[in-house]
Amino acid sequence: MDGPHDLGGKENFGPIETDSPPFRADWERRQWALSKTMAVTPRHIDWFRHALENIPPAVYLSVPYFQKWNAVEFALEVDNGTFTMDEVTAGKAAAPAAPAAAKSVDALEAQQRALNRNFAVPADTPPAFQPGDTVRTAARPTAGHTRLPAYARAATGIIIAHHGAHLLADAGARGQNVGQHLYTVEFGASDLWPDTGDAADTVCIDLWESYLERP
Amino acid sequence: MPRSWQPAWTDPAFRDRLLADAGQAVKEFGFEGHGTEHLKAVENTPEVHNLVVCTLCSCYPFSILGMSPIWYRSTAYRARAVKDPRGVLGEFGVSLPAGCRVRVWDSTAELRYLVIPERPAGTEGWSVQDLAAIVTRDSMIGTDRDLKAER
Repeated sequence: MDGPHDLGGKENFGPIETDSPPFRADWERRQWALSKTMAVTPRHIDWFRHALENIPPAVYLSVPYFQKWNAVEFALEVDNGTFTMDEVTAGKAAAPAAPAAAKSVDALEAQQRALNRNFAVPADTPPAFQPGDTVRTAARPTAGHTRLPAYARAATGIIIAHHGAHLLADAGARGQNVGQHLYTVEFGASDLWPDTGDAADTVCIDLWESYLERP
Repeated sequence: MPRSWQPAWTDPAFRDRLLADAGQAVKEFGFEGHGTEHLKAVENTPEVHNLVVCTLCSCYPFSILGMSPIWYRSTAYRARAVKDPRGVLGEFGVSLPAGCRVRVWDSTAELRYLVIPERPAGTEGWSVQDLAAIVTRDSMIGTDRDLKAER
C-alpha cells in the first residue's frame, strides 16, 4: 500500500532532533510496557504494523509515536473482540475484571527473553537468486501490507546475502504463515537518487523473493 | 551495555563469530530478547561507514540497545537517512574520512542491525571496562563514528 509510513526519501521534515531522549512523557513509558506485555491473542507483528499504516496520513505524521501505538492497540483489541467501541468511548470496561496478579521482575524478564522469535522457516522451493545476482524490484505498489519501500521500486541492485526462507510480511498481515526466500539487496545511491546520491554510497534493503525479478 | 564490542576489538575469534551470527554471539553475554534472533553486525572501517534506519516503521534492536531515541523513530530521520545520509551524519557532527563510503541498512524485514564502531587509536592496553565505557549507543546505530579515547 502507499501509506504515510513509507517515508524513505520524503522531504521537508526539517532537521533531526539529534539529542532527543527515548521517552518524553511517562505515558509513553506505560504504552511501551503495555504493548510489550499484552496477553491478548492473536498478536502478529505484521498485522500490528499494517494497522499503524492505516492511520490517516495527517494523523500519522503529526501525533507522538506512542499515541499511534495506543490507537493501534485499541483498534486491534476492538477488532478481535476483547472490548467494544462503546467501552473505548466510555473509557472503561462494561464489566470490570479484577486486576491481573502482579508479576515478579524475574518473570517479566523471562517473558521478554521469550519474545525472541525465529522468523526463518523451511523453504519449499530452491532460491531463485544467489548472492552476486543482479535483480530488479517490482515497479508498482501491491495492495495491503508490504515491505518493499516506495523509494526502491523499479530499482536495480545486487544481492549480497540470502537468508533462507523467512515468514513473508505481506502474508503475515493477513494472518497467514507463508515462507519465502529473503535476500539483502544493495542499491547504488546514485541509482536510487540520480540527482543527489553519492556514487560511492549504497543502500542495503532486506527483500523477499516475490518483490524481485531478473532485469 | 556495549560489552560485546570490546571483545570484537580484542578477540579476533569473537569478532568472527559476531560478524557471522551476531544473535548467537551476543548470547555469550547472556543477551537475548525481542529481535535478537536475526541480529546482523556490520563493521565500520576507514573505507566504510554503516548507518542503520527503518524507513517503514521503527525496527530497532531494543533488547540490545534499550529504547530507541526519539530521533530514530522520527519522520525526519526515517525520510532522510536513505536519501541524504551524509547530510544526516553532518547533523550528528560526524565527518567521514576522504574516500569513505556510506552503506545504509534499511531494516525492512526481521533482521536487526548493529554497527561495530572502529576502535579509536590511543586505546592500546586498555581494560575491558575502559573500552566498553567509550562505546556510545549512537555509534552502534551509525550516527556517531569517532569514539573518544578518554578515560
